[in-house]
Amino acid sequence: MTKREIDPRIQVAIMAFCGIAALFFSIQQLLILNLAVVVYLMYCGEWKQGLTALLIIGILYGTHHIIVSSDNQILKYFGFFTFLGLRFCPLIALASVLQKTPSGQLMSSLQQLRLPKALLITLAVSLRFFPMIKQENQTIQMSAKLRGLSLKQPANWRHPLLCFEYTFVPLMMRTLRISDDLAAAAMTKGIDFQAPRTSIYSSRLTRRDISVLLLLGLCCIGIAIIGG
Amino acid sequence: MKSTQALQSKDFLTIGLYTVVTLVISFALSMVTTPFLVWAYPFATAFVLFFTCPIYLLLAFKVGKRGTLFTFGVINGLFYTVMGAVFVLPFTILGALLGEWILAWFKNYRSLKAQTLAYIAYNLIYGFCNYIILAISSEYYFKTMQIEGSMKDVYLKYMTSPFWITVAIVTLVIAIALGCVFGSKLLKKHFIKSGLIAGSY
Repeated sequence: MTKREIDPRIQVAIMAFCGIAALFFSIQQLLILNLAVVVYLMYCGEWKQGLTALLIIGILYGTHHIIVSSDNQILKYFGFFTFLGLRFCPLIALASVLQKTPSGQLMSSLQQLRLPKALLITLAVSLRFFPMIKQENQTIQMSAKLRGLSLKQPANWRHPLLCFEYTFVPLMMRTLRISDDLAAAAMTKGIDFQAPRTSIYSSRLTRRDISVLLLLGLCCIGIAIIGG
Repeated sequence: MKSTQALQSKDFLTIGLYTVVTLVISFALSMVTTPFLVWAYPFATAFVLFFTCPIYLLLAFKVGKRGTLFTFGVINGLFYTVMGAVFVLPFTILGALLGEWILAWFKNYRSLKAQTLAYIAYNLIYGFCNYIILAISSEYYFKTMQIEGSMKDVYLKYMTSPFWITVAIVTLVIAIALGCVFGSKLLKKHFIKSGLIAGSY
């Protein structure tokens, strides 16, 4: 499977464009947008993620269709969740591709946009940390479950603040440790040095990057016109 | 020698990490409150913000410098922009600037009172951005949120009635105040006691 790398700037632009488009699209338009994003994932060589996304989109759309066709008012209320899922699916799929970009390449690419260094660092760290939170939370919840302190155990719902403390404190301790480690690593690599950072990654926009952006942009505009 | 009062790279790293944690917890709790919006819309934001207070306090005490809340607000707004809600960014920036002004007035970035007031000011602007958008254009708001039918009537009732708006504001202020008190207790019990962060009130 050939992996095609799209410039991180283009990936961020695509995410923003699709995010704004998804906010205005109806359910049918969202379905087409999601399919376009799946094609994009396949093009980037993320076949497994593309197929998983396709499966999730199918389930969400099918469930939404059943809910909307139903006369049950309580069931109709859950249509909001399936709609929300379809709205966020393209963003999550696009973010999953972006988060595989090495942080050095991400920063090198975003540096070309002449963004303030502060914003660069914060954005790069934020984007890279999203998947780590899930792993950390899973570890903490597993440990809490072994000790009978998990949120999934109904007996603990009578003490919500204690439950929050048992999740929050370990997560924050880990985050503190990660931030200190990241800071030490970044300082070792000279992040505070005033001169512009050099990088082994080439940050030039290629014809492929521009073509992908234009294609997806035209796709969104087309969906808006046809569905509108 | 570089002034240590200015935000440094390690501070931006910390702010980025904690902003992500705050966002994740906000989204998770928002999903929990969504089924109850029909009955408890004015209280939903307050409920979510209560649990974000300890995270923000930890960030504020860890960094303890001017610009922390502003950077936090900007990153929050940028994430909402990438998710399509472009209109949130100006509100987070405005709220963060107001919060920074309050903190500058107190001249103590590790004061519980100052941080509580600053966070309340930030969230009064950010937390009510959907009310302001509704006031500007209800059609735009309901179209982007895909709200229609009986849900639209419920939203209109809670978001346009002066009584319910007042209830929402008061609840938000109380929730953040209590959340910061709760957060400060957690900080003292675990983080300040272990020496991981400095604390001074």
